[in-house]
Amino acid sequence: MTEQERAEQLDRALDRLFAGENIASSEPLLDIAQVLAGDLVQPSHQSVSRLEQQIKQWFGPVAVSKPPVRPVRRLWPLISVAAGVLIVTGFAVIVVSGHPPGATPPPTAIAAALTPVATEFTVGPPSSPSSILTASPVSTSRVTATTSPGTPSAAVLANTPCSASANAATQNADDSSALPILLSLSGPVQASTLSAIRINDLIVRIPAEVSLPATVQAGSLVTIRGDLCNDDTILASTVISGVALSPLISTAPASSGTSTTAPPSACDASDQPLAALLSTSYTVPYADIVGWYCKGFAYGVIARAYRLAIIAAGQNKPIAVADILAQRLAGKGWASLIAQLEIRIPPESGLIPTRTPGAVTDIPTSEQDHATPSALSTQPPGTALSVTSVPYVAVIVEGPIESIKGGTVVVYGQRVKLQKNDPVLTKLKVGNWVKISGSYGTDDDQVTIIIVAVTVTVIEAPAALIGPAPAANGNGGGENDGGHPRHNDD
Amino acid sequence: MSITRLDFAALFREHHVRVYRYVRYRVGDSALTDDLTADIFERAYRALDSYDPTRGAFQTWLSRIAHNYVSDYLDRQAHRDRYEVTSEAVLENLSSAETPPEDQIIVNEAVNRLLSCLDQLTARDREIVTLRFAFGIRSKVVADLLHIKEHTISVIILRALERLRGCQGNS
Repeated sequence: MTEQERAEQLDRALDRLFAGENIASSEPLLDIAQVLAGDLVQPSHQSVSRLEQQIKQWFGPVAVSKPPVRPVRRLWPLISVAAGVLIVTGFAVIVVSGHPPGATPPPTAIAAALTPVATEFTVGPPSSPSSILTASPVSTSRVTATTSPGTPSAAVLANTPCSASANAATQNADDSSALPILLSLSGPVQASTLSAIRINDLIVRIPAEVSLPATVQAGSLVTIRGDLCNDDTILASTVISGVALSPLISTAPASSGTSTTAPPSACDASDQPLAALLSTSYTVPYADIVGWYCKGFAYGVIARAYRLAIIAAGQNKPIAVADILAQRLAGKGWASLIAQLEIRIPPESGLIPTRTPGAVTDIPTSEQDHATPSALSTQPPGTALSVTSVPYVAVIVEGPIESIKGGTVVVYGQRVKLQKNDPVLTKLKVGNWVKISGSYGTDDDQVTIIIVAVTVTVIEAPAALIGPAPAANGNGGGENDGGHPRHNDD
Repeated sequence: MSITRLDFAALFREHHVRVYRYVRYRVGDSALTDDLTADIFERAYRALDSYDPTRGAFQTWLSRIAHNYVSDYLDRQAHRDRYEVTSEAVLENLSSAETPPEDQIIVNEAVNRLLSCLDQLTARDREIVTLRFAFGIRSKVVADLLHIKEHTISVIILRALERLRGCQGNS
């Protein structure tokens, strides 16, 4: 093959790469090509903040659409979900407990498998507490998040991509990979097996081709990148040891000891971190996100619907999120929807603008399982948008309040701004342990980067910090250059 | 179908990462990248009326603005370096009183290594690679923009990638 021929072949491969296709090629240069075209370099906070200010100045405040009706055009195209969701223990638990296919282990057994302390959590609707947790072979035609009668085997869950967690019985293939939702999370490992780890109460599956650092074990710090699957688990693409914590965020120490059993949350509870993060990142009301969630859509599906709507709008083919989800519900796969819309998925195939692992979306966390009934929610669902000035990088901070001044609290040296009239401010005290989800924004000086809180929840301090850990059950948790000199083909 | 201003807001957000990456690949410095990226979007905003979706994709249009702006900037920079002539505009672009928090947070070896390797390319090759990979535009578009034959672009990219791969391997 001549150099010219090879160059042309590479050129075609690159076009496919940019179109979002998976390329199976022996061309060694595709590796470096993927690095260049990948998301290694992401906009800085300052750049994001400046663009948001510019957009606000030029186009005015971003209006928000209600999910069932209007097309989504103005939503943030990328989200950065940095973890911290309540409970999704199904997968790893099943891996550990080795339940046979078709058997749904009881929630307590699931929790016990990875967590010595029998802690039971649910994030699904009260009527089906384990629904969202199912590792299930979620029927993509029925939209995840519905209780599955069958549970995939450990083998299926262990080393397979999202798409392989299909339910053979129903012949519904999971098609998460057709529209990846990339995210990063960092923090202490709560539990680990060879094929799955739990971090921030998210189950991260480790495919066979992804090497798990030997140092990864319960309590160690890791940074993970992966795809948020339709069923709200994460399929890791990269796992590295350690967490590149920013000075802005600190990681609460992994705790050991007792966990507080949290009561089942309503599907529209105001303290669902993932819902809050999606709301923040997409600049849509929290109520909209949980509204879909309460209708049985998993966050992975909701995120994909918004991503698809955003891409479609960007390519002048607007479609409402509601329409996408309706078609999803009718059994349409992501690939079919993409084909139907005649859109191209950009090479940044993740909706979430994750930075280099550990770089930004650090998830300071400790044990996440101790949200209490006394949790305080700062804003009612639906008002989250108002405090989101930079809906780009979502973060969760968990730790003790070091000081309170005006509408700002300090946690681990990180300033977190709340709305000044937020009633929760009257209840917070120095020393309270809080779990805050929010996004990066700027202080009143429009320069200093701080965290703008979306939700603040008072939680129990990790047992290790408030007393001796129980012996047995310790767990941790051109100038107008005329952009058109000619008609082009792109 | 006409594009509303709110659509443009969404487009700006969607393409922010491309513009940022393009600038970063070309100039390297993150603080400068922040400034130039903001300038490019301002320029794009002022030129919105010139965008015609029937004539090409938004990212292609935006890539031209980014290319022209950064090239102008680098030219001015080179001119200033040569003759020690400064202008308000250049100084504005160069100034960044605040160290971006990003720099405090991230010392990303991978990025630095990649940028270091990009430094080893010629200015022309770097520009071609950057346009192609940051914006994901086709070689033909790059060829049109830079007035270079398309097949030449392909070969340049092949050779540049080989150099980058070798550089990455060595480092």
